[in-house]
Amino acid sequence: MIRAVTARLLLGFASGLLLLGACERPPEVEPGPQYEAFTTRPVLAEWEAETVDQALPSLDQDRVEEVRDLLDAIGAGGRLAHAATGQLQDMDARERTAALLGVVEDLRVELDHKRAAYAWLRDTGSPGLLPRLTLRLKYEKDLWSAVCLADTLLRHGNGSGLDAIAAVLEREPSDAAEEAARSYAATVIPQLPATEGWEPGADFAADWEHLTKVRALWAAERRLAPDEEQPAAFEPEVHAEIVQMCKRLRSQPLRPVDDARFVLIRQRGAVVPILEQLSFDEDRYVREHALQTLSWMGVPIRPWCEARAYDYVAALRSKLGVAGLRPRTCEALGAGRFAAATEDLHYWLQHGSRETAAAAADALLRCAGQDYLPSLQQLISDAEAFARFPAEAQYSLYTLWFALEPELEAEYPPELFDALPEGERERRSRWAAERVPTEP
Amino acid sequence: MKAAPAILALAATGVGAWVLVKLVTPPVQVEVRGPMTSQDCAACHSAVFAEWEESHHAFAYHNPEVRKLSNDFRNEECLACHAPRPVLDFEPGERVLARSADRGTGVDCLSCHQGPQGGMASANRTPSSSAPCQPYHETRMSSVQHCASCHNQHGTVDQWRAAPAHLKGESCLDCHMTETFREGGRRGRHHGFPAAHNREALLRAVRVEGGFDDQGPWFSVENYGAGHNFPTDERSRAADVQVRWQDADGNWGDWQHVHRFRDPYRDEVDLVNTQLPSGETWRENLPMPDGATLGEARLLYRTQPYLPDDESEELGRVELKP
Repeated sequence: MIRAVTARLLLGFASGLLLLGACERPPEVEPGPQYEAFTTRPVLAEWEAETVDQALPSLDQDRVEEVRDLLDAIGAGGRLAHAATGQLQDMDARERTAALLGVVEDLRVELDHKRAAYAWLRDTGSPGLLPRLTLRLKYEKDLWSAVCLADTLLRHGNGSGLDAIAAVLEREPSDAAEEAARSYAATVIPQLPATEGWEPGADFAADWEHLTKVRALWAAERRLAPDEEQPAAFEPEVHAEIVQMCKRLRSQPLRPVDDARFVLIRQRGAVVPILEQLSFDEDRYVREHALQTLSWMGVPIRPWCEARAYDYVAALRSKLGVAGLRPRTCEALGAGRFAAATEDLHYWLQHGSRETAAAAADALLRCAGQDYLPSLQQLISDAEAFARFPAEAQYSLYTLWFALEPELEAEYPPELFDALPEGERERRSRWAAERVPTEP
Repeated sequence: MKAAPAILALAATGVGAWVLVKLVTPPVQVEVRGPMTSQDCAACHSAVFAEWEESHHAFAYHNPEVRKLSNDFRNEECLACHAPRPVLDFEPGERVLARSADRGTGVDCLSCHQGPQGGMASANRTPSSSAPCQPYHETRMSSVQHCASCHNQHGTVDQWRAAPAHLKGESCLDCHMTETFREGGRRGRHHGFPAAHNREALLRAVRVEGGFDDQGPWFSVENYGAGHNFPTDERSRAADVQVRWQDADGNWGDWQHVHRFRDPYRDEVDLVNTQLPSGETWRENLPMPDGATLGEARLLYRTQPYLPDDESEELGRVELKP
């Protein structure tokens, strides 16, 4: 009896398998995108160990003060100044650079010492100064110093200070110090890479126009000239200091994180694979902030990836398989402005949490091409389902719709318009303006 | 009885079919957990929700002062604490990160209660097992660490740790989430979070005194009730001591600045931190000008340093009479 029942059970089980095997898969079962396995590793710690010898030495405050005293002696003139100059010149270049950076980073340093330190950095600084000097753009309030550090960055191939140069030139000087800063700023323009037909220093209007063009090129492509090659990587000393800067992404206080993001988004495109690799780091704050930094960097990502044949979407896509990283990955994917990310983003817009959906919608606004229009129209036409998206997502999708159908009057539902503050709306307008033009 | 094997066989067929479905169907990746938004909480917790709606947690994103200071959130780093992801997604006391959706509700129900596995965390030791939001007891809910993720960015929790035992109490809840009885006699914690924008809360923190001693008029401010510095947290908070004098004709002069309690921003290098630590008293003699017959000193609380006197909160005034 027991055998008979067991046999019937097995028979039933097997026939169930066969029966279902013969059936087609139910149409409502839609498999999600498949992603390769994601594992974290101590990326930053490994890089730090590899690059520590190339990084600028970390100096104690006494050493920084010694250098400040030397600058003081140089400023005083005479025989003492001569000796102090010799002493500073004889220092190891990287140690001197580190000490001078220590001087300009000290909020309580006297103005004369600070200016002298900036000038020494300009004339003798080693390339590793780049990240920390870029950070001074955020904090430096003295106009002459701001021009000097912008000049130094430019000499090391970084145009992040060009906005500061332009701001000083646009400003009507109100005193001798501002006049001196303005005069200095004017001398920086002739150092910009030349283009045909531009005669540096011959005519201010022509200089200004050239500066404007170079600023725009730097903002869009992180290059200073249209024919300049996009370097694949930073030189070792700069790379080591970039790694040091990335360590700030681990910080619990916010300011160091914000400082690092400020610096990283202002570097050349070679920072893109660094940030992408950091999204594998074992520290969740590093992973999150690395992806967020890509999202904030935005526009210059694509030209660099195209020039270096770097498959940005493929590099980032695997992180979409990790729920905790998905929103920031969506945002970073959008920032690359590659339409290849659209399919994944569309899936997560519909199947993600509200957090993921908002990030996916923002990303679609930045990267979806013209062929996304039918899917978008379908989403918006289903009013009930569309209303379930967070306000941020709805606003982004409307903005995308207006971008893809420019003949439409850009009229948002009033309650949606009011739900988002001006800053949020402005950010989305900027993303729409930065979209890569696509043919209908 | 004879039908039993057939029923079993049928059931086995079903099990077989289910196993096959599981084997051949790739997992559909869908992220959904708990209530969709904090608005969903209002259906069952209307009284708590109403308290929260009046709080500055609810106002964290739309607050015009915050908007101004964050350049209308163009400074995106401010979002982390003004529209945070669920705090319980992070290690105790660790910094919280910004969310992308529903920022308008600021520090909302989900920010504090949503658990990493989807249920709703509660300080209640015996939460209802049948509630749709799947509540569960979480000791962290009533711990200082829960608040620290945001409120230690400017050192408030560190100040609390250093405060005298008799003032720090058990946790932040003692002052900022006091016990309350809601409709039906249900006991809970008030979700209005009284603090810097609440006059009663400010008066429970500091008191002023003044008088005359052998060196003339004096005025004091005592942090007698806050388990942290006064003012704390936000660096734009300031409290000013002012004095004015009356001449022989009975005319009052203008208010004059005497002292400011404030933690300055990093780049205000010419300023030092003058916050008043928990349990400490600031006291100063105020030189009386010639011809003055009477004086008045007061303490003004400002939610930002440039707030005009008439928009600031006067926390106490003392007559200075010989």
